[in-house]
This record gives sequence, C-alpha cells and structure tokens, in this order.
Amino acid sequence: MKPKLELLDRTLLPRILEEAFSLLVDPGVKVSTREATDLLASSGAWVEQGIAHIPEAMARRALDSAPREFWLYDRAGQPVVHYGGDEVHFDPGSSCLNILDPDTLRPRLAQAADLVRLIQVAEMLPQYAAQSTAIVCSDVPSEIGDFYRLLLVLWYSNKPVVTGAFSAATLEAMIDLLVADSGSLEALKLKPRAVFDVCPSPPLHWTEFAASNLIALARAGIPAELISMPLAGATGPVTLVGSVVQHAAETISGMVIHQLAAPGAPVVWGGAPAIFDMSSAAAPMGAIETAMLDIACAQVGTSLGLPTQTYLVASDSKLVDAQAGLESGMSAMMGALAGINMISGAGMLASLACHSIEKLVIDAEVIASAQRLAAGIEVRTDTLATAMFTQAGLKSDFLSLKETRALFRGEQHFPSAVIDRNSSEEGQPVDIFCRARRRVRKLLEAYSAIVFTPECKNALLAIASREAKRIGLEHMPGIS
Amino acid sequence: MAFQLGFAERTHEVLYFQRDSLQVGRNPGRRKYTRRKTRVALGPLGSGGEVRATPGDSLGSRVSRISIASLVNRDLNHRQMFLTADAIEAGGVPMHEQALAAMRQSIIDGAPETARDLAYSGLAHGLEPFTAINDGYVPGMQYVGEQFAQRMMFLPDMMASAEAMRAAMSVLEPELTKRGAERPTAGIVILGTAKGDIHEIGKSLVGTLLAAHGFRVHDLGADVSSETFVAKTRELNADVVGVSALLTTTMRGQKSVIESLEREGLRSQVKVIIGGAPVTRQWAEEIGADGYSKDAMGAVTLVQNLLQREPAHAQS
Repeated sequence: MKPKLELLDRTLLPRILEEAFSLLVDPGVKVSTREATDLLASSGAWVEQGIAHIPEAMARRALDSAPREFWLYDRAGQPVVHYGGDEVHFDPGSSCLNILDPDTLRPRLAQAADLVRLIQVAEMLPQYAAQSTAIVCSDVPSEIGDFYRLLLVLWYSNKPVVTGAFSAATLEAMIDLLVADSGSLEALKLKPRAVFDVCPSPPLHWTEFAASNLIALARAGIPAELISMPLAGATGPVTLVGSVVQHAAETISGMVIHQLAAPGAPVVWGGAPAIFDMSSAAAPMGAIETAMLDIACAQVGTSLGLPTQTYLVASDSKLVDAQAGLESGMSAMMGALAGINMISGAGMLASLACHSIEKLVIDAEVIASAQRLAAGIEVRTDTLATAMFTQAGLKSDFLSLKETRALFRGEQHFPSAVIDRNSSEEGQPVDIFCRARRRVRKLLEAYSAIVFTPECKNALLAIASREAKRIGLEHMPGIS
Repeated sequence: MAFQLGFAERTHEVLYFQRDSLQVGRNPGRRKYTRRKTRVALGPLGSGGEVRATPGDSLGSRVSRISIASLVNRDLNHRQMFLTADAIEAGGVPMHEQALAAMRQSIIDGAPETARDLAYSGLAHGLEPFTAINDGYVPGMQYVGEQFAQRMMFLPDMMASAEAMRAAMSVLEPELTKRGAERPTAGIVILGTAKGDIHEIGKSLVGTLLAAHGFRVHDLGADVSSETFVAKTRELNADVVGVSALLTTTMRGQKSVIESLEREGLRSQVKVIIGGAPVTRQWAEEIGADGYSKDAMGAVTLVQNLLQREPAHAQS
C-alpha cells in the first residue's frame, strides 16, 4: 500500500471548481495582451476593457484538451520525468539572487560560478530528477539573465530542466538553445527537455508578458507549468480553501489561453501559493499552512487528471539549521505523499531569497526519506515473518538469512554521510552543515564534464555568442 | 455594546483603568487581578448593578468614575462575566478629554465611521482640529504601532486603524485648510514598485502607515520606471524614495532607480529605501540604498530615523 495524503474532502472538490468557474465569469480575468484577448473573444469569452469573462463550458474544453501526461527527456533522449499520475520528482528551487556563503554563513549575490557548482552538485544527486535554472547570476547582464541560466544548465547537465523566461525576447533565444540542444524543433517537440514556468499575477491577472509567453510556448510545443501563487490573506482570500479556489481559477484561465493557442500542447497544473504572514508581511514558504495550501491546490489538479507541480522543501530560515531541516523535511514528506509530479524548492532558504548548495545536499537526504515513505510498506515474501523465523528460530540470526541479503536494499534507504547514524563519538561531533560541506566538495570532485557532440556544442556556443554580442558581453562567465 | 472581561473574582469587582485598557480586579490599589486587556466599548445606558472604577494612570487619570450597568450574563463556572458598559460619568472631567479618549480608541478599534463621527462631533463642540489630531488620533496610531511591534496586533488590525485615521483626517484636514492652517508634514515620500513588478501590497501598506504617521506620501503604483521615480523626485523635491520589489527578478529595478538618481544629480538630495519579500540588508548595502526594512512598521521608523525628525505633530 502506498500512503496517500489528501487535504480536501472529495465532496469539496466540485464546490471548489464551481466557485473557480464562477470567478472566471465574474469578476473575470484581467488579460493584458491583445493576442490573448483576441483568442479568448473569438472562442466564446466576453472581453471588455481587458477583462475576459470566460464561460464554464469554454474553460472545461481547455481542461479536456490539456494532455493528461507527458515526459521530459534527458540529453540522451531517455524519458526521465513523468508528468502524470502520482509519480513524484524533485528539482532545486529556481530564480534565486543570493547564495549562502558556506564560509562566512552570510548571503551574497550569486554569480555564474555558483550556479555552475550548484548544477554540478544537483547532477550528481539522483534525488533530483531535473535541474532548475536555480540562480540569477549577478555577473551576467540582466538583459540575458534568464537565457544565460539555461545555457549554463545545458552546458553542465544531462538532466531535464525546469526553467522560465523573464522576457519575450529572451524566451525566443532560450527556445533556440533548446532546439540546438535537441538538434531540431521537431526533435524538441517529440522529446522535450525543458518545462517553462509561467506565472499569473494574483489576483486573476495574466500580464502582457505572461500571457504572450503562454501562447509562444504552446505554439512551440514546449511544456508550460502554470505557477499561480495567491498569498492567502493578501493577494488572495485569507482562508486556505478560498485561496485554493483562486488558484484554480487562475490556473484554469491560463490553461484556456494556452489550449486556445495550441490545443493539446503540454501544460502542468503548477503553483507556488503561500500564506501571508500577518506580522512580517512575508510569504513564509516553510509555514505548515503554505504546505497545506500547496498540497490542496495540487489535489484539485490531480482530481482533474492533470500533471501537477508545486513549491515545497524550502525554508524561511536564514541558515542551514534545525528550522531549515524541520520545515523542509515536513513539506517534502507531505509533497511526496500527495503524489505531486514535480516538487520544486529544494536548497532554498530565507523565503526563497537565498540558495544553499549545502542545503541542497541535505534536502537530497530529506527527499530520499520522503520517497521511501511514499513507497510504503510492501509484502515481499510468501509469509510475512514465519518462514524467516523457521530458519532463524530464536537465535537472533536474521542477519545471515538469504532473505535479509536479498531484500534489505529494497526495505531500507541508505543515506549518505550527510546523515550521522554512528553510535560512537570519535573526537568532536561534527554538525550536519559541516558534513554537507564535505559532501559538496566530494560531489564536485566526482563530477565529470558533459560530453557533447561537436555539432551540439558549436550550435549552443553560436547562440550564446549571438546573445552576448547583442548586449555587448565580451566574456561569458562559467563557460569553459 | 457588550464586552467580555476575563476575571476570576465573583464579588467586589472593581473596574479601573490601567495604562490604556479597562481592567477588573479586587482591591486594585494593592493587587490587580487582571486576566486580559480589554478594549472599552461604551454603549447605551442600561440597568443593573453598578461597579465603581478606580482611576489608573493614562486615560484613567482623566476619568474620575465609571458606571457599569447590566450584568447581562454571568457564568461563574467558566469564571467569566459579561458586562454592559453604560457610560463614563464625567465627574468634572472636561468633555474634550472624553472625546479625545474616544478618538484614540476609534483608531485602536479600526473603526473609520466612529473616527469620522467623532471628528465631526469634536469640531461641533469646539475642539481644535490640531488637538484632535495630536492628542486623540495620533496617540491611537502610536499605540497600534507599539502593539504591532509586540505581535499583539497584526497587519489587518493595522490596516483598519490606518483606515480609521484616514477617515478622521478627511474631516479634520479640510477644516485646517479652512482655518488657514496646515498640518506640518514629517516629510515627502515617493513610493512605487520596481519596473516589471506589479505587486503592490507591501508598498501600499508602507504608504498607508507613513501617511498615518504624518508623512505626505505619493504612491506611483506598480511597474514604475526609473525615469518616473526620478521625474517625481524632482517635481516634488522629495525627501525619500521607496522602491519595492516582490520578485527576485525585479529587485534589480531598485538598483536602476538609484543609478538613475545618481545620473540625474539627485542622489545626494534624497534618501532611498528599499523593501520587498526577497530584499535583504545585504542587497541594500550592495546597491547603495540608504535603508531597508523587513516590515512596514519598520519602514516608518526607518524613514523617521533617516530624516531625523519626530513623527509629525500638528502645531497650532
């Protein structure tokens, strides 16, 4: 039996959708691009002064045409990430400006070299099925900041990528990179390697960039992940279930625009909702209510049979400390039990304002434990215990049984040296952050450079040079 | 209006003011049996037992006697008692003192209609608008700020109080203008969210609180270009420019505003503060901002400190 976490009573789900559909009609959705409002108006929505009022039947058509599953592929063309069903994958959190300096324990502006290290470490950790464009590099001009993150990931990783664009111009260049990486647009469509996050602005607003981004991705056949993020009590209703309704309305409206642009294009019911802290005005990503909200929003998507994503495993702590561990641990467990297809956020601190490579390796242990929990307790033998007792009797000799040797690897997860299970203390105890630092060093030493075909390498470099030249960037940090 | 007092004693209850709230206890001169602070809500006269209040400090020092009527409910098993207040008996205390106390309370309660009505009523009874602001409403806002800092009140309370303040000022400021006076401003602040960012809530909250603390706030809204910040700074000769960003991707817009102010030769004339969920002190230092606050109330203190001025108190 696989354990399952659901926070919404199933009888509540139709009511949530009913109210979400109702919001799409009144007050409707603000859509700030003509291309999208034209699409909506020509398909049955009533559009007035930039507000689209979307009838339920039209919204349901979009939900019907959105695919129930798709895969992301690695560089070798192997399917790695299955969006659909209750499969669970994890990727590092994304778009962070700061990184925790492991020596000073202070956040500092992240640079390309930091992103390279983070990618290399994530590449070595099997818990991360996908990479993310985790860091915005301060030593790269902001005009191509999003493009450059993807370039570095493709340069240093074979894994699929969760990414996102900051502007229409760079989205085009990022698609060029992916096409070069796959060999052709057809190959990319057939075996997509990346999914792009696209965010509505709460409440119920698709900005010009977000809406045009959705349309461009749908038409290119590149998967889009809709990241609705109401802040319960600030940009969304204070009740968790109220914000779930808003999330559903924002996500469905995005799916309508996306599916009108290209019916059947791959799209994910994602999100990063959070509560609004009534004292600090922050969005606490480590709060239990934030995790509950994320799980509940994903449950609505799952109930519709759609692929899901959410943001968990992040912490509000400023250091890699016990708070970071407990917040990340709790939400990773919840996400895994909820069967969410892609769970983003590992490695992140300070309410998503800071990344830590050390936390990323600790979170990998959290994730492994959560995955073990989600796998549940299986029956692996004909009798549950008696046959083994027949052999071992009362001699406490289960260690030498052939069943033990055959089955222990499936029963137990073996953590890395980041987790201290030693019973004896030799010398001064070392805390988990020190152990994580050691593991980061070892992983970086063990990392091997990606092997490209000359065609692929040259094509990526040509696009990178083109973009660098466009903005006058002479040196490309992190590319060697 | 009924209000709940949590107290344990069955008889010989005495109501009295301690600091700013109504307290209940026995023999308050020696020992105070306070279970919780309770806001005073005054209602119509009722009938029932009368309890005398002993003046405490603060508000109490201005009140000689309180009558409480109608023990409307008594649940001694739960050691609670519900009382209905009837009125503060003036007992020789000037009417204005009562009015000022009510004004202060209307801010604490976040009751805009009451605050507005009290402002009209005060003016009708000859209360000076400056007095109403400085001795009635502003102390209420200061109390709310203190409670917020102690996590006894929260942002929704603060927003309601600021709304009540705005309601009162909508009555009092035109009256000041009519009399040829103007409430001195603590400073001119321009606020906006960085280019590319449409999130407004944090910035609007800061604006509301700054306005409630006497600053003249010009809110440029969201998705504001550096050029607009610069133009408005020049136009208004602003003291402070505040740039908010909620997204890590738009934080760089804060740096652009500072760079633009420098380019236009305005940087030395204006203080730049930044805020937003992903913003850190380190980022503020990195981009050369004058200050950063992690929350809205802290932003008020920050601006006050940067301008080295006291919160605005009107002077007649």
